[in-house]
Amino acid sequence: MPMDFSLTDEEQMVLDAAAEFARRGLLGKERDHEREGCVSDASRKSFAESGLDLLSTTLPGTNSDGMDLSWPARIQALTILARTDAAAAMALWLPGTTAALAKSLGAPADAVAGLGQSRLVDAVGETSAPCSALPMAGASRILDLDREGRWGIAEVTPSPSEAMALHAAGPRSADSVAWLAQGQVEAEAAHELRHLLRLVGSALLVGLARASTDYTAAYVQERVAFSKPLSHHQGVAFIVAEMAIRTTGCELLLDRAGWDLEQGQSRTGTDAWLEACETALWVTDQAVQLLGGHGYMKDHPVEKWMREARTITLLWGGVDAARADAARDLDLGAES
Amino acid sequence: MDFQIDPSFEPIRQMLGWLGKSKLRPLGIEADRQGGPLPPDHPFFKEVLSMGMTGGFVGKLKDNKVPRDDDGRPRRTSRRAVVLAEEAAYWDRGMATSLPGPSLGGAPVMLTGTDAQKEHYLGMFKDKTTPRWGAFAMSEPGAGSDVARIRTRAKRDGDSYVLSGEKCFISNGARASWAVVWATIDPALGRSGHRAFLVDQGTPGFTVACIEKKMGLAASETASLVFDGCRVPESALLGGEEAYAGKGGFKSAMKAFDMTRPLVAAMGVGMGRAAYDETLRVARERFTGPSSWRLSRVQDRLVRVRRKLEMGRMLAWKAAWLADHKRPNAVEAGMAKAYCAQLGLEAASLGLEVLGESGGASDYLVEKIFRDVKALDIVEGTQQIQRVVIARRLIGYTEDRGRSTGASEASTSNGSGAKDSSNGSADTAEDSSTHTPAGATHV
Repeated sequence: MPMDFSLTDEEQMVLDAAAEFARRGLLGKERDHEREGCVSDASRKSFAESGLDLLSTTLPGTNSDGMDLSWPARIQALTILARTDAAAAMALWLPGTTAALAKSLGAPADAVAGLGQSRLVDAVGETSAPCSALPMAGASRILDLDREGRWGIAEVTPSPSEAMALHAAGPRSADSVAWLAQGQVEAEAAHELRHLLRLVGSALLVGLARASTDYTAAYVQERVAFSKPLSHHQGVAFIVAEMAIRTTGCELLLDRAGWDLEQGQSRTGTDAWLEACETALWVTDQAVQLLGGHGYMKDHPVEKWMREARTITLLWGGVDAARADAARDLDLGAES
Repeated sequence: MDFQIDPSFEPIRQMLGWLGKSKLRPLGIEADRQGGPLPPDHPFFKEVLSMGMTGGFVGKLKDNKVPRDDDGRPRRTSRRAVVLAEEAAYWDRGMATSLPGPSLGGAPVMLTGTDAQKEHYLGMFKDKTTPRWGAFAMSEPGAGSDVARIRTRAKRDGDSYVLSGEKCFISNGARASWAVVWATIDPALGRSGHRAFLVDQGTPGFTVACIEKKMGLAASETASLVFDGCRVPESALLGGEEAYAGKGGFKSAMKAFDMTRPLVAAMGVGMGRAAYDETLRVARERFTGPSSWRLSRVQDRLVRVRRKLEMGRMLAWKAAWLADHKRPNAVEAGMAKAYCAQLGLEAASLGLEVLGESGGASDYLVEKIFRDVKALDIVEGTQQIQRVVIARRLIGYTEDRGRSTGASEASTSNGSGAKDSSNGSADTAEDSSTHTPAGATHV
């Protein structure tokens, strides 16, 4: 039905399952995951048992998970997980997506096994670029993809890395190593996958933005300053309203990007990423700000969300590569 | 989810596109150069009327149920309206506002009017030979965003009311056949004293003081109205007295805004899209050589505006979709309105910057759009008022009524923002919203 925002019963059921997994498998374990530098085996097992892992392995136009689920719903499911623990959501979700991308590029099965993270790089050369504090999700292989369609899978021997955030996704560093497999696809095909990957990353950021907005909205109603709740100070109320506007808008843009992807128009995925980066950085910062000194302390989750937003926005080429990719179809100048 | 534009809207959207290109935009530019709206007897209005185009709601709502089409689907009145509003504003928002029809007056008549009032005041627009307009008269010199402070008085006198006061910034106010005029029967009653009256043009005591000169939107007539002992019959009370139980009058106005704010948001998207298209056209002309430092800056900003236009469109559509399903949408309508009005201005500003120092010259469309679009950030509740509406719903924000409100009172509001604010210091839409209050999942 055109111009319709409703979900099917099956989609709602999957989102309920995601919320239930987030409540049982992730909620309350965020700091444990961060301290231990990985997602617990129990959480991984629970994720697989829920069947949600299948959602991460399906690309548009395929139906490898056997579920008749729209892409907006798939993205919403990841967003729900990220609201509770974005780093854990990344560790659980990304390996499946990376493997699916590698398969679609034509990578041999023995190279695909053990893939964890992917990178959108400027150029895939003779050796892979070193990685630093890259969340590897417990894996030892990475997939690189550049704008011209060149790709490569590298086996790395990562060493633990001191990182600002995303500890649950196992940040690792590694020097340059040789490729296990390399290949090239058409530039257009590569860009579709780059847009798609960014859409998945956007879900993590929008989950963080929603968590921050809701947490802050609850906090400002409880916290009293100058004899009235913070929420009754207009300077505070307007910021919370703005957080809600931007977060809601971003959620809708993700829905739109997911739907566009199904229609064969993938570029909105990069648009969603750029908007999600801008929104998550601003919203998580405001959350810390409105909680004041409490926001800076680890007693509240907002400081973690701010660190995570800052770190996630650096992945997959960050915002600069995304801007360049988004501008391709503007048809401006000699080269976009 | 399905974000395809409803195919049933396409014929009229295409017709609007043709009309926009051939009439709305050139006539809008002509009005801008002349500094005032086209006269009501301009042949364009008859022509557009004969094409079936009208401005404002002329449909019907039955009871309080979700209106459905023959196929059982919820009627797409609001979704259709946002699609067409975006398209019309893309070509010229001032001309779109001037289209014959009930304008903003249509929504309150449709929502609150008695059957007889709907029949008479909306029925007159079925005549496709004579251009007619309606108007919505709320703002006053001392009550803009703060509509609770309206001071136009309505005094009961036998079986009639006598209206006295001034109204300003009224779209199509001078040419309207009738206006929905908001007044108070007693300022001490606050919002519960509000009443709306259907006042016919030509009623003794009802005069047009002036047509305003504005920064932009010259094609749209903006009038100041004066009511000086203007006597109207009891039957002119919109919806009858029973419609005003509690704060029914105020609620009626707010409900109208919940329907119209998504339209204003869609207009912001439409005007922003026009500015974007024009900017891209100019940029393509200017950046034909090798990459330069300026090119990458322009590209970055173009893609930024493009994605924000899409986001704004989705906000407007979501608010309209909720309205079509009779679900509370005050927050979503406020979000869409606050976001898209600013967005339109950002898009126009980008266009001016790409043009450089020549951007200020009136030879360029974006210069006009820049002046036109600012109005959207002010009409139907400024961006600040939208944030008040949103904050009340989400976090129970209330205006300062002393310094002892206390946390316990706020927590009992449970984020619904359902507190009365009888000092009337702001427009704070109150209806039966069930918007879920924000809640922390991490503690």
